[in-house]
This record gives sequence, C-alpha cells and structure tokens, in this order.
Amino acid sequence: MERVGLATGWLQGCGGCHIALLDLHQEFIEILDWIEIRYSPLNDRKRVPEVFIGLIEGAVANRDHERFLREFRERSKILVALGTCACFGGVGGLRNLFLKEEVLKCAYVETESTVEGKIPGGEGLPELLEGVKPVHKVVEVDLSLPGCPPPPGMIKGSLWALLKGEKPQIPTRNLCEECDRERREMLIPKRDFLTDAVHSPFELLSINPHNCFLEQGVLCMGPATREGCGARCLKGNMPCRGCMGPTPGALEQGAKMINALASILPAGELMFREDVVGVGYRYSLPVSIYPHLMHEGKNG
Amino acid sequence: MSLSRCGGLISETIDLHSLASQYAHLAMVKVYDDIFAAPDIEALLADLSTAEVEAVVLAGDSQRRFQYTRKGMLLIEHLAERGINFNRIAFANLREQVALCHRGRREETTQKAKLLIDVAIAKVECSARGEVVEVAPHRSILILGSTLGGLVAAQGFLERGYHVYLVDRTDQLRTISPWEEEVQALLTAVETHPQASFLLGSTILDFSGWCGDYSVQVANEQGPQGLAVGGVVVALGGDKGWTDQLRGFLHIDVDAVGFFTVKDELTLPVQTIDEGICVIPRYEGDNALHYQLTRGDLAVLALTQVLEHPQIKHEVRISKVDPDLCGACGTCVKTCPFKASTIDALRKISVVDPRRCKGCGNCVVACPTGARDLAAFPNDYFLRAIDILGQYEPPEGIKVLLLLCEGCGYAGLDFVGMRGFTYPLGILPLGVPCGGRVDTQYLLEAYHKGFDGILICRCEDGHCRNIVGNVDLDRRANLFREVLRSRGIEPERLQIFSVAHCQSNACAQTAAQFAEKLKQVRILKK
Repeated sequence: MERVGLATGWLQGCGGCHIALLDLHQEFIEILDWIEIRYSPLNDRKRVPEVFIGLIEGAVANRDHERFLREFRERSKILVALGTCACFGGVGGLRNLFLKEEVLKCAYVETESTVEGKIPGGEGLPELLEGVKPVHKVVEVDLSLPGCPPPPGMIKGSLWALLKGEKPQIPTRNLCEECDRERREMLIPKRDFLTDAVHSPFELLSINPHNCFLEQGVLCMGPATREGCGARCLKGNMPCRGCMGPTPGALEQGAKMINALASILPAGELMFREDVVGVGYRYSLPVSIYPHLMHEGKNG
Repeated sequence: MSLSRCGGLISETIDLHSLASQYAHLAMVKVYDDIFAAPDIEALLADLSTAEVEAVVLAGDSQRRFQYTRKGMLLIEHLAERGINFNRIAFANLREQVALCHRGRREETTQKAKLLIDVAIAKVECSARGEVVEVAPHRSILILGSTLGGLVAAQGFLERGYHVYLVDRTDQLRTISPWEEEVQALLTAVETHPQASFLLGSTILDFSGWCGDYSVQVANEQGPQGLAVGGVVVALGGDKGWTDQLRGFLHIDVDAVGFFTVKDELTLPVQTIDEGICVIPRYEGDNALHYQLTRGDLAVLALTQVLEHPQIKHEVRISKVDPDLCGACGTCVKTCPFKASTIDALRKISVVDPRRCKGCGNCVVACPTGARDLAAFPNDYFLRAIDILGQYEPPEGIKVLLLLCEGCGYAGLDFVGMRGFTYPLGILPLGVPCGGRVDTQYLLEAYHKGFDGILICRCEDGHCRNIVGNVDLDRRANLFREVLRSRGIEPERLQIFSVAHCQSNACAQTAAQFAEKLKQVRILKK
C-alpha cells in the first residue's frame, strides 16, 4: 500500500513540537506504516514536495518565515498548525509588547557583551516583522493543535482521523474539567475570596497535591485554558500556565482570566504578586484583541 | 421600526424622514407624532397587524420611559399581546441621547441617531426569542416590617382572603406612638385574623423566586421555617440596618441614602423592578400618617392586580450554559451573589436557577470559557454595537464609548438630556444591564475599533441592585489597567465614575472633561 506524504516545517519555535512527535515512541513507528515523512527540518531537501499533511511548528516572526509558510501551505493538502506558537504566537509572541527597534536594541546593543553591540542586518538576513503572528494570520489553516508542546496522543489521534478522512475531535471545555484536584471552596456560593494572599508556588513550603491551586492561593490559568493536555502540569504539582490557549468560546485568554479572577482571588494581591500581563498572555499575546502597542502605522 | 417625533421634540433637531428613508429594507418603517398618544398607539398596532413583524425597534424616547413609567409599560404590554417577544423589542434613545443634548446640529445629530438605531437593530437581531415561563401564584403575602404601612397592607390582603406573614426583626411590633389610637383598631383587626401569622424577632436566611412564587427561609426563636408567598411588601420605615441586610436578598433599587425605592414616584409609587415586590418608602414629611396609609393601600392594589391572574408570565432573561465549553470550574458559583449558579456534580456542568437569576450578566463576564451568554444582552450584540459605534467619525475628533449601567448610568445621561445640558458629539452611549456585565474583552475590542477612551458610568458604591456589579467591575478594571499599560494604552483612557442617584449633571461634566483630557493625551503623543 502506498504511504501518505507528510511534511513538517519549523518557524519561530523551540522544536519541542517535533520532539512531541518523537514522544509517541513506538507508536510513531506504527504511524510510519501509513505515512512517509517527505520533508522535515532533518531532511536535506531544498524544496517542500507536494504532501497530504503538512505540520507546521512555530510562529511567523520574520520575512523568511512568511515566504516559507506560503510555500508550505501551497504544497500541503491539509495544513496543521502544530503547537501553541503556530496557533497563538506562543512565548516568543511576548515581544509584541515592544516595538521592533526596542527589541533589537535590547538584544544586540543594550545587553552586556564583551564586544560593542551592533544590530545585525543586510543581505541574506531575513527582516524581522514588526510583530509576531500566528500561522493563521498569514495562510489558511485546516486544523489547529494547541499545546506547548501538543500532547502526543492528540497529535496521533488527529493524524489518524485525517488519514481516515474524518474531522479530528479536539476537546473544547476548560482544564478544570480534566483536572483531578478537588475543588471545594470554588463550588460554594460565597462571595469571599478563596484566600487572603496570593503566592508563587516556590513561596509555599508545601502544596497539597490533591486540592485546587486557586484554593491554595496560587494563580492557576486552568479555568481560562482549553482542556486536552490531560492536566499534566497539575499532576506534577505545578499550576497551569495556559499553554493550550483559550477555549473556542472566549475571545481572548488574558482578559477572560481577569474577568474570572475578580471574585476568586484578591486583585490587589494579584497585582503586587503576579505579572498579570505575563500570566494572562504568556502564550497568546499575538491573538489578543489588541495584540500590539498603540502606535500609529504599526502593521500586524 | 417606529420613529417617534416625541411631539416635535426630536424632529426639531433630527431629520427623521431622511433617517426613515435609510431603513427602507426593513419590513416596516413609520414615523409617528408621539408614540404614547392614543391615536399613534392605535396606528402602530394597526400597522403591526398588516405586516409580518417579528421584532420592533422603538426609536425616540428613552428606554427608561418604557420600563419605568406606566404609559411606557402599557405600550410594551400591547406589543407583547401582538406576539412580539420581549427579547425582540429594542429602543433607540434619540430624544435624551441625541436631540435634547445636541440641539441645532441637524446633520450631525441625524448621523448619530442612525448609529443608535443601528445598535438597537443589532440588539433584536442578535437576541434569540426569550422563553416565557408561567407560574400559578400563591395566595399568600410576606410583609417585611411591622410599620404602619405594613399593617395597612396586611389588613388589605387579609380582607381579600390572602394569608399574610408579617415578619420583623424586632421582638415587638414597631412602636408607632404618635398614631397609637388610629393604629390600635387596625392592629387588632390584623392580630385577631386567623389568616395572619406574626413572625417577630426573625431573620431572613434565604430568599428566592419571582412574582407569584417566592420561597423564603425565616428563623426566629422557634427555629427556622420556610414560607411560600406570591408577593412581598417591604415596609421597613427608617430601619437602615435591616435594609442593608435585606439588600442581599431583594433585587430592588435603593435611593441616594440607601433606602429601598420605587420605580416612579408619580405613576408607579410602590412598584419596584421586581413585579412581585412592593415598597412603602420611608417618609418623614408632615403627612406621614396619610402617606403610610395610602401607600399601604396602593401596595395591596398593585400586588393583587398581578396576583389575581390564574397564571403569571415570566420572561427568562437568564444566562444559558454551553455544555461544550463549561468545564465546571465554579467561577460562576463564586461570582453570583444571588446563589443562582451551582455545579451539577453528576453532569459536570454549571446550571442556573431561573428563580434566583436576576439577569445581571456578571457570570457571563466571569465565565473564563465563554460558556455563558445572557438571553437579553448577548455577547454578539455588544461586539456588533461596539463595531457600529466605532465607525462614527465625530466632528471634534475624539471618540469615547460611554457605557451606562441600567441602574443609574442610563438615567444619569437621560437627566443630562432632559435638562438640556450638552456634551461632545463623540461621546457614544451604550447601555449595559449592570457594571458587572462589562467584559474586559469588550474594552479591548473598543480600543481596537478606534475609540480614544472608555467611560463607564455605574451606580454609587453600595447602590448596585445586583449587589456586587460595581465591586467586580472595579476589580476587573484595576487588573485590566495593567493590560492597557502593556499595550501602550494610557490607563487614563479608561475611567469609571458614578452618578449620585441619577439627579446630577455629572454625566455631561465627566464626559466633557474626559474628552478634553483625551485631547491632551493625543497632543502629548504627537
């Protein structure tokens, strides 16, 4: 039987989504009975061949990403945005809080160095875009698989569905649905805050692994984050940081979390203790309703 | 759509016929002289029967005139009888929000009036048909407060065959010394009546339900007990402490000093925004005796008028829950001050009790997944309204979104119009049910659509009818200002203010000052 062609591409990302593919272990070898990897960052091929499924990792941050992504889209029958960076811009998207010049200056000039700093540029170097963009802002995307990295099971399930010509089912509720931690105070109709103080996990001598983080005064993004990861961080006794992005019902993750927190944790404490912007938009700033600095003439 | 000239008040300023010609695509567009005058009401109803109309936009008077005065409420009742769903009636306030405050600028006001009509049309288009529930009313009444007014009402209901529960937190009937003699006969009549139960020295533990069917938990020395009543008369006199305690249970407005108040002193003198609750307001004038006696009787009249119907219709304005999005996190449970949200542990989904929900929309905002929506003020409507208003190009250049809460803000801006005060054209009003319905997502959306600033006018601290709408709005805004800073949007571009019980020019002043401040910010930026 002829195997189906698959290509994987890599834009501004850490490569973790490719590792997630490998994290399928022997199951990945089973998949290889059905698909053939015709292009990937590890193949030495100059051009993307025509394939059935294209998996693209990372966000669009420079002109070369744009060019490559367009080519990749053209050659893939089904384009899958793989991982949080491709879906929402990811951590690298936090640079949208600054102007491009500020970012370059900070990275190459102002940072301590043994040599005098100079902003690189010129021929051969792709120009940095004003702002980081998710893949769907540049080309049409057929399927988005969020997660930093996307859970291997979800990748596999989606690939199988696509091979069978079905629509992959990605769960749509929030993480609390999957989380095994017990919620007690959250379910009592009482207007008092859950705790008087807000803590970072490292400040606490111990964290009860069976109880809701919010009830212990630790900011957890779970309520404003899409399920599907199996609450893996929470099982490791760390609060959710929101990498799966918002649920399909929310316009954006950060503002929704702010709305929710009003009756949950003390706002004053939160502002003092937490980086509200960093927490709410850690992974999703480029898909925020207002993703950029308010400067005239700034392109998306 | 119906456009009302408001007896010429509007047509002086706005070119209604040019406006009407822009809506030729609608099923019906008509200009009436005065929508509250009998010939025009008849004409409107006759016109409605000729065309297939599913929704009605009433452009002209303030929505408050349709909700808070008898003549307006009667007109809405007529529309309901013609089969127009309550959720498909919207208002464009061309009188107070355009004509009266921007006199003499025909072209600009006509343009602004069109925007407000477009927003009203968006509202009926985005709102689904609202569900109506019917309940058979209980023939029993709860009287809160053994004041003279309360006793008069009690006697009135007893005479009409109702069972009356007279509840007070004091151990004895409130001493009404100057009127001892007048009251004695009344008191005897009530005390000796077999259908009257006195529950003195009581506290209210819980209160839920709607007109015709309230459930009340009362406790006193004899222990707790549950009452089922059809209506409530609140006659607390000057007992501020008890008023404060009861505010968490009764969904009615308070006046400038925090006492329960009525819809309209003149035409609805005991009625409140909850159809089944009447208030005998505190009164300390010369004719206190007279006042209490008449208000007591009026409360009996108002409530029996409703409770005599075999079935009472209730419009369900509550929020819906989308099972595909709700993960049962419990945020709505923590948010709702009326205890209307609970988590169904078996189905792992949040459920709303329609008898407790007041339709304020705070949970819709709080829900971190977007699983909830308000039947009467859906998410899509606000996004479209912001989009429509955002397209306006004001002559002064500065564009401000002015969000007005239904409790005070809306009336505050109406007051400005009625007094003929003016403010810049670029201040664009949009009504919200409560400060708690202001989603920070909408604020970002408004900046995104080109508004220079956002003003939110809400009730004074402690006066929110939904108890915590103000509080949650402020908390959200505090956190949200960080988000604004991070985007290079000056936090001053978001301002929240309150109006002292609607009777001040604060709205116009604040709006004008805010627009001026934004102009300065803009100059500084350049």
